[in-house]
Amino acid sequence: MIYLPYNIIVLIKQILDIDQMKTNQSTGEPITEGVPMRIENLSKNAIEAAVRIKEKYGGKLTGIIFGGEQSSSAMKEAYAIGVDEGIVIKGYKGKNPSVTARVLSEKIKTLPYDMVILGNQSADTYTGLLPGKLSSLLNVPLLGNAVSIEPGEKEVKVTRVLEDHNVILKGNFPVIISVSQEINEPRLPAVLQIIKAGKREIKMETASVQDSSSIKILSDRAPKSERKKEVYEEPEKAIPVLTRVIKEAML
Amino acid sequence: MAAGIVSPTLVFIPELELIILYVTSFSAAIFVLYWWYRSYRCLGISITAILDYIRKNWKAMISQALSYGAFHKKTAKNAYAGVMHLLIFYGMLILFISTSLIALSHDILKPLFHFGILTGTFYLNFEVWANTGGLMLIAGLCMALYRRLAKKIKLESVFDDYILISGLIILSIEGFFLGALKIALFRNGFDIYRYIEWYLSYIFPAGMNVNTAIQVYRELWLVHILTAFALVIYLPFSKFSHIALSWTNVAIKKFHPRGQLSTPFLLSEALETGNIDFTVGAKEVANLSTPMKIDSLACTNCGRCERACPAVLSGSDLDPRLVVQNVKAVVYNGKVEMVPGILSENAAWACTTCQACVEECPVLIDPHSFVIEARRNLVMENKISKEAGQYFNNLTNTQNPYGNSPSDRDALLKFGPKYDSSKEVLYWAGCMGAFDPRGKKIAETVMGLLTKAGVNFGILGSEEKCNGETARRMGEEGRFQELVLQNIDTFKKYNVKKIITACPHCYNTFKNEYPKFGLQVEVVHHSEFLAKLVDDGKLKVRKTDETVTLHDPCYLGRVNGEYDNTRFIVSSFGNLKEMEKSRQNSMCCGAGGGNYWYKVKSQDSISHLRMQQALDTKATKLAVACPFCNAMMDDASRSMDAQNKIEIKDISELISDNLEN
Repeated sequence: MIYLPYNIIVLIKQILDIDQMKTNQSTGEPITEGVPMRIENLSKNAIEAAVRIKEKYGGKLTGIIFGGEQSSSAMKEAYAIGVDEGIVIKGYKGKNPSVTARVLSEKIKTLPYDMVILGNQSADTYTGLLPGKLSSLLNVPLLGNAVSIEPGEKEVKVTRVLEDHNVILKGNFPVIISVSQEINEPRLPAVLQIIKAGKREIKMETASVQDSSSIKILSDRAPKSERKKEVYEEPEKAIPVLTRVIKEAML
Repeated sequence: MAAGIVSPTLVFIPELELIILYVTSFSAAIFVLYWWYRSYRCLGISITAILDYIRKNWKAMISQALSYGAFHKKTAKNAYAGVMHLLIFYGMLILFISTSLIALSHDILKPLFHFGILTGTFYLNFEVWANTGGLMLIAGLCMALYRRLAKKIKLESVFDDYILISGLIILSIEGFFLGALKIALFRNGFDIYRYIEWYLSYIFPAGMNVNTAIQVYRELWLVHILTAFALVIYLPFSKFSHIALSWTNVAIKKFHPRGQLSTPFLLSEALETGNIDFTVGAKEVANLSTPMKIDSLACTNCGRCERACPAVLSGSDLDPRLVVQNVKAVVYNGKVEMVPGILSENAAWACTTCQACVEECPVLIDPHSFVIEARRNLVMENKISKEAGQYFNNLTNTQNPYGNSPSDRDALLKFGPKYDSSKEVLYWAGCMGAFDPRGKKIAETVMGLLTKAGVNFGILGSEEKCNGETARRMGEEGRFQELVLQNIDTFKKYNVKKIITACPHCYNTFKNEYPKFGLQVEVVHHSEFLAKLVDDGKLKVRKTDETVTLHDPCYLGRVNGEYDNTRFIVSSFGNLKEMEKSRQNSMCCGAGGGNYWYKVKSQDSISHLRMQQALDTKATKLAVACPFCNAMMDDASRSMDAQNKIEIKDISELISDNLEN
């Protein structure tokens, strides 16, 4: 069987823009109110990787967001980057990878696919559990931490980056590929492209989620960091200190 | 009076040759006129549209054609080239009028009505003018030839240029010799009014054979006529086409504030109507607007833009002359991609939008608008560098280029009160004022001076958002307009009446770009506001013997024509020593058009070139009026090890340093 052109599913996560998030100075509590949402950076890498495969080999790109009503804005941006069809599954209550994996795998099972591409993990919780959980629920192999994807007619070659060496893996379709940040530089759609993409239909569905209590957050306070607050006005005095500190850090 | 003063007719020229003359001159005129019309017809402009345009705009057309064409309002800017062009232009104009008068008198009035107009004193005046015209033309052409041969300036010389210059010199010399020969034959006393030809006539021997002389005259006359028509026929194919195309361009130019870019769409309208099927920017030459195509036709390849362009001076691969010339070469076909067909991707980003090219162009071409259209398309095709992408991302996420938290802007509230409706003026600190350490100090200084002078002002703190200037100039129209709408909402909420900006770029954007989107407020740059406070005696400055040089920011000076306030401030305490390039000829610091935020490939850095010019004045202080210029010059002085030689200060800091109390 020849898989070209590919059916690709890309999983997109929408998170709070943590770069804009402040913490309460006295309690260390994160202030989430008024913080805008954005597409998780690794999801952008995943979309970009999928779009590049589509541009090179042809195929259809389906984007899925497990989120809420507000996730359509993220899907519009994904459309602007190159996603063909978007599905937003409402009902995300957060922070339980088991639930997310179950909801997403149920949806994925109903769609034709050769590759599922997603980010390794996400910057809001950093569990990194979703790719593995999906793999087990779908019974489809996972090629994780990919820095390059080279799909062929029957199989896909993925370069996985480890601490000090790379591993090249081959897998038969269908596969799940989780990507690392180094895989590409995601393109930035122009505002007008996002508006144009916004005219396209987004399928809104609702998942019934009961269990989201298996994980409890005990604390989400920002760690206290003490700074030395040394100020050098004269560059001549500062440079020796800085070079010493950098050298020590490099040892 | 024995013979009566009359213009000699072409008595020696046989009828056949005269018929040749009439036929060729008539067809040449038709040919040139048709080519002229066809130049615009081929851009899809119909004859009815042309006539309709003339009917509606003839007054402006005449005044612009006179001031920019006949009176050389911009051509004369450069002394040598200006004098040269004036001599050629008026020389040819005088000769054209003279020849037309001869044709009218001899070929129309005499045969049909049996009288001539070239008689008596009028004729004598006419001959003085005609000889002077010929002299001016030859002088101008010699200057042009020398300019090209001496190669003292960067000037592209092709074979075409030499054909034209030498062709015209030959034509003028032929004309003088024809006149001289005729004088030698008849030698009337009043011929001395043809003062060049009179003296020239003595080279013909007094006792020459009359028949031989007439034979020589006839042959020379035929050569003269053929040279003239050869040049006329050559006109459309040569640089001389500018006589028609450039004059047309200056006549039909629609003026708009220099600091206002074209608006390819209105975001608010698009969002409301849902109609978003428009193209933004130019992927191909064919996508350029018709006025821009007409602009390209007008280009004479004179190279003034190129010699003023900081991107050219720094050795990048952008060349405004080539951009326009490349467009001109394919303007009718149009099937050439702007990038890389007209300019490279690097060149497209190398433009600092300083508008030195716009200032220079004698025929009102806007070379930088071509770059903007190319950028707009690059952005739509996501062909942007990582740094540019980061810039846009930060703008979208945090409404400032740094990606810093918007609430950090509130830190400035330590130095000035929050704006509310009781305040008279809004001080707009800008992103540099809020986030750049040096910019912050300048903002503090300005607010200190405003407080001291008792100005009832306020700032917006975290309600301030980037006004989108750089996004627009980087071709991201959508992000620009998003920010415009957000900021205008804030201004409306507080009913803002007057804004003081810290940055000339903010100043230009509020003044020239925002009105299109519905903002009607008074906008001043802090240099103007502070100069007024000094002038009114609300800020008292003491005189020092410091020598200070001044860098004109492009968006205050050349783009908005404001040169005097900064000079007033400098002169109020110190001795102003101008740089070689100042006022409208000032050179960009290298930051504009987004260049502060990304890097392009070039041999030198623009800021280093400018810093050297400042150092050449031997001044001990460099006054700047823009936070970006400040940062660029500061950086240049560090890497050129010039920090001990010259101190870089904002105009507000200089006031503050020299306050009397």
